[in-house]
Amino acid sequence: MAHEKLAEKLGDYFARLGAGKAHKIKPRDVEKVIAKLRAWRDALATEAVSKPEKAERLEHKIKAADELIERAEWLRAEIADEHPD
Amino acid sequence: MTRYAPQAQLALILGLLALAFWLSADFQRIAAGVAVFLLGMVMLEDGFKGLGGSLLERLLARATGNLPRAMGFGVLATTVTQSSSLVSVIAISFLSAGLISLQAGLGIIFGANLGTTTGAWLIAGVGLRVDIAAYAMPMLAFGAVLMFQSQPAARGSGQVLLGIGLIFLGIAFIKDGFDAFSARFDLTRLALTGLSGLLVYTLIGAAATVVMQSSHATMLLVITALATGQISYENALAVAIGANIGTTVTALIGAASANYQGKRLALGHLIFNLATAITALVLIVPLRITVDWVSDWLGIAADDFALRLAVFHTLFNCLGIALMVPVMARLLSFLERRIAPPAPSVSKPRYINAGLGSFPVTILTALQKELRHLHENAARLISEGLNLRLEDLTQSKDIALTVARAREPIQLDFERRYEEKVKSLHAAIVEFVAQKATLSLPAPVLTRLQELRDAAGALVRAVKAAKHMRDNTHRFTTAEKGEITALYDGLRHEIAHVLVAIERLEATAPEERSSLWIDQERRALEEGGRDTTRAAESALQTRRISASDATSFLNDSGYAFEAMRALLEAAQRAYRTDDAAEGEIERLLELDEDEMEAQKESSLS
Repeated sequence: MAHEKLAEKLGDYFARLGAGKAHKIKPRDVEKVIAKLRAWRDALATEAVSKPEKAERLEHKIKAADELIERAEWLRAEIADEHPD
Repeated sequence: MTRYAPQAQLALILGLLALAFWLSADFQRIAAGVAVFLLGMVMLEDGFKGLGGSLLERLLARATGNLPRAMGFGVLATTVTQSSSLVSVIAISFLSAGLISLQAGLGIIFGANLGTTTGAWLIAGVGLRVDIAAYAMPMLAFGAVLMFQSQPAARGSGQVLLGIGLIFLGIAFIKDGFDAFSARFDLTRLALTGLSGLLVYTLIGAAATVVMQSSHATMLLVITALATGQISYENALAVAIGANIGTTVTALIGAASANYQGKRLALGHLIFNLATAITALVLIVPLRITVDWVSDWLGIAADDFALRLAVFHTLFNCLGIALMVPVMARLLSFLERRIAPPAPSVSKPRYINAGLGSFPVTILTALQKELRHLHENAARLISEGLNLRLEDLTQSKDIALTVARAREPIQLDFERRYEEKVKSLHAAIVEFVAQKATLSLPAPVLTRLQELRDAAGALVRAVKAAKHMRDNTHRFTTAEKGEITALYDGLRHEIAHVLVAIERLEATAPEERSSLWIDQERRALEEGGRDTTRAAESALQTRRISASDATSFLNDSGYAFEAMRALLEAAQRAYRTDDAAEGEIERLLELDEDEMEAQKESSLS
């Protein structure tokens, strides 16, 4: 399973939510986080073009950003199923 | 002797109460009414804290722009909550945390004083005219059911309803008590006229407010006594003035544990109320004429002294504001001169203190600021421990070059600096969180408190790890020693890069940044760690460094990466967004240790 650990954490979150110990997440909240991640990824890509000496380090970060965006999109879909806006 | 003063005072009050109960059964009803009323006030205050404490704090944070806005907030918040002490305590805690200016704090206090006069209007205009106990009953029943629910909103609403119900019931008890009391006694025989009456009843009003810790309770008693003819109108006016003086004692007690700003606010409150009271006493005759004129204009009957007292209460508080606002600049200057700030110290907490109360936004904001203070101390110590200047790094356009040029040793007693500027602050944060964790705060707030405490712990770990590599870094980077110098410069560069990345996050507007950016730094760091190890192995294989130097380097490389991981862990927790939902998302998305390890293994394979 691609997001096994994340699914496990999401299960814990829903349990906390049910017990009134967590704040409710809506799909639009996840959208906001994705927008921030995309903005950061774009900034890294721009920096990689202007600073080739940092390209390798920035590539690692861009790769990490892409993976985070993918995880966030998976989360948005899961949240939308459970708690639509 | 003074050691036993509180016990003696309590014994005296209880003794006097017992004597009064023995002398009059009706007095028991009045005293029980006051007790129920005070219980209702406490319940109402707790309910508003639970229901809208955060809302009040958010509104208050915006009421800092100018004096009229701050005063408007004070009037509105006190009118809604009917608790000037709740509003005053929030203002003191905000000021103590450095979230509002002293002027805004004073504006809120002035407004709260005016807002508290609405209580007199409610008691005189509604409380004494209808069968208020009939309204209390359903409120008590609904309130009790709601109060035992687990949802914070339902619990808060229940406490508010129960509070209002108890206040109504208290008013009804007092009213009934005075009605019965009036049939047997005539307290107006104790009435005093002239200057002596004014002074004696002002003192009685102040003392009653200090004992009951509530000017509302004093006003309730005096208005009810006035309505049942148990006190003369003239003496009732003096009691109202005294209540305003007495209420400052509560504020002074509250400010005892606050920082210098909270103490300034309490002193300003005292000056405002004393100046208002003295002016009202001096101008009592023209004030009374004005009250009559305003009351006639409002259509209040000539013998409706209860409502006329409410007019007086409002007018003399307005008079106080009219007197103090023009001299606000001088008042501020006096308070700032009178209570000087403590000498700035990097080793003592600047933002967290006992005066922050139990308000979630204030507690978390102050703690976040203190954590930033700790980070600054830690980052400076780590960089100077590696012979780097933090300012040079944050201003550098080429960090690698800045690091390579930093060959000048920085003289530093690392252990002493750690004790004075990191450990002491960390201890204060741990103690603060432990104290606040005992309060009945919402679960997400407690989670955030623990997260910030853990961030402080991570910063301490980072400093300790950096300390271990100081000697060798000093040895190999203060003079050019070939490949080993380049390797150590590489480690210094990595640490410098992490410190600069955190500063970059700090400089980004909170609504634009995400703590997940740190996750990318963490993953890039793990990749960098492998490169560093490979570089050292390669240098050893080609005999560009000795085996002894390679061992030192690999050990120090471990410490360096431990320090960087801890710095990033602290930053990830510290820069968690204030938005509760987004904070939950960030916690879900960030990689934990197992996931990070799994990623490391998959990229190696």
